[in-house]
Amino acid sequence: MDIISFIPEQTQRQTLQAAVFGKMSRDDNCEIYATVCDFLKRLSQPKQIACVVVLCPTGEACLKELLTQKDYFNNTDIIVVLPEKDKGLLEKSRLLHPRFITFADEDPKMLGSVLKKKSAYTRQQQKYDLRASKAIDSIK
Amino acid sequence: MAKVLIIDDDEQLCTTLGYILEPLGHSCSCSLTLQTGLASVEAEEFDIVFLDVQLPDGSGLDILPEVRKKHSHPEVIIITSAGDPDGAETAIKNGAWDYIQKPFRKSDITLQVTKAVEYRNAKITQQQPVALHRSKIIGNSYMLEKCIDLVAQASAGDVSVLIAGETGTGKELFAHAIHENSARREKSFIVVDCAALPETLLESQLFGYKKGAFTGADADKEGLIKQADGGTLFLDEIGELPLKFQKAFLRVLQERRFRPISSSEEEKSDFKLVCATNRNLQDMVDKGDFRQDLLFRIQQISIYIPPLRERREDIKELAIYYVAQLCTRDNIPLKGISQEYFDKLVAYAWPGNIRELINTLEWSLKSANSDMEIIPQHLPEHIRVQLARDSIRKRGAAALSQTQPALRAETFPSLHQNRDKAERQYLQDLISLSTGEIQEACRLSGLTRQHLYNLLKKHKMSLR
Repeated sequence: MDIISFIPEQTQRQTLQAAVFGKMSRDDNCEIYATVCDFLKRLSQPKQIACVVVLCPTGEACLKELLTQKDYFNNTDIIVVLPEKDKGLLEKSRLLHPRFITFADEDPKMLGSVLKKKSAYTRQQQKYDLRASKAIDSIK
Repeated sequence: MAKVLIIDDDEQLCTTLGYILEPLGHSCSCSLTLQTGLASVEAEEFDIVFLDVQLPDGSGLDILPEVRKKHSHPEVIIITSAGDPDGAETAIKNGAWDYIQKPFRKSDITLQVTKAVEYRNAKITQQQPVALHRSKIIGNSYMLEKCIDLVAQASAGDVSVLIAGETGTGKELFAHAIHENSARREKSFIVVDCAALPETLLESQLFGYKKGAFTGADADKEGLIKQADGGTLFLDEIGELPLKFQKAFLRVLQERRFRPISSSEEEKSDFKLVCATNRNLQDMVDKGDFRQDLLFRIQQISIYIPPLRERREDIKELAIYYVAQLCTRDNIPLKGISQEYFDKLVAYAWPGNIRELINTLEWSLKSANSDMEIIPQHLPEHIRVQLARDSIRKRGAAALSQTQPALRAETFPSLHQNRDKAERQYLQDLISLSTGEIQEACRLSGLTRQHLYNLLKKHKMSLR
């Protein structure tokens, strides 16, 4: 599974790298981008079929900028880490239809456990899809 | 009363059907070829079309989708003398009302026509949204149109909807479409990914909690069920919901009430429920992994999204749509798509469905670089290899079927004759391979010397 993250804030980048991305399975490809430009450039490149995008906006302006780039997030699952527990921010982030929302001041282990479960499920699903693909092949 | 068209080259059958249906108040017209039949459905509006499979100018199954697309969307009843289960399947999948084989009884006809007329009348009186907002649902295949009809029904009321389909078929897109076309469109669309939430987080995420409920709960938190109040709650991969949590969730569905963790009071939430799964939930119920009562609650309307390989006619439209979207997104000139590339896309089985198709198009656009047209060489290697394998296998099968003579009753050998022929061929090969050496021939065949001599004598053959 590809896990492509946008984390502009340096401390948060280091924290999440140590507590979350660094602890993912070697089967998962974790990439972190600090600028919107690099992040979008990466998203325009081919990705694995299973791809999770982790967005850590620094505030409302940053979130709004990401919302204007929604087309880049098609075909991916989105997770949002909001900087603060603000109702307006939460409502705006909902426009991205995220699979999970957490907050910067919450335990990063939560994000880690969600990504690990998603990754395990994806692996199990890929095995199932492979079996299905072989079955289709044998029918042909 | 219904207007019935019979497309069949058997004039007697046309007359018979007229005798059966006209006394019931239906009016019948007849066409003896596909061409005149198509012209008739073009010129007039029919409620029911009886369509023969074998007609002088082609197969009725070939024009079935075209007939169904005509303005009046007639119900088509396939009628044929040939017992053809594959044809029946094709007919049903392409939207035939039913499939009747000759010879038939009068009651077979009257029953089918009565049911089809009742269904049409019910459909006409059903209220549907004037214009359904399809979101990004692309395609016009009959199977997809059926799904769209169900989206319209599912959007209309507060029924619970279960969307089933393989991974990558676009179940979430359909869930969005249901929300966007419902009266709740101005409110939230809340996604709960049951495949991503660990058991330890499920309860707090869905129900929310009060301050101090557990370590780290430093403030009240509204759960996803409450956030969906007035809107739509979308439970993706509901088959992954742990059994012990299913009971708690069932209660929420029954009462639309829930209690946040550590709260002394229950809260209300009025939401429309849409669930999705890629698993067979009935199988899970049979195995004891999913609650029957929960399944009953969540599938007041079921929508099955067909895999892409079952609606290949949509692939071209999907490819054109997504190539345009990706080119716009990446701010590059719009690229063309060669016919050969389309042919390859249609030939591939797409185990990852639309999600895999989009990824492939993205890949191809990058491979094409500055080329203005995408060609098969721009496909990912694993797809090209798979298509090459399939092509070789098909050619092999075709060559085999050409070398095998057609079966004819008058020349079909008895089992005894066939065994003799095979035995003779075997002995010829054995003699050749053993270069006429009896010891070697016995070793290779596993026969005793006496048995081998007897066989050679029987077929008037010798080792040298």
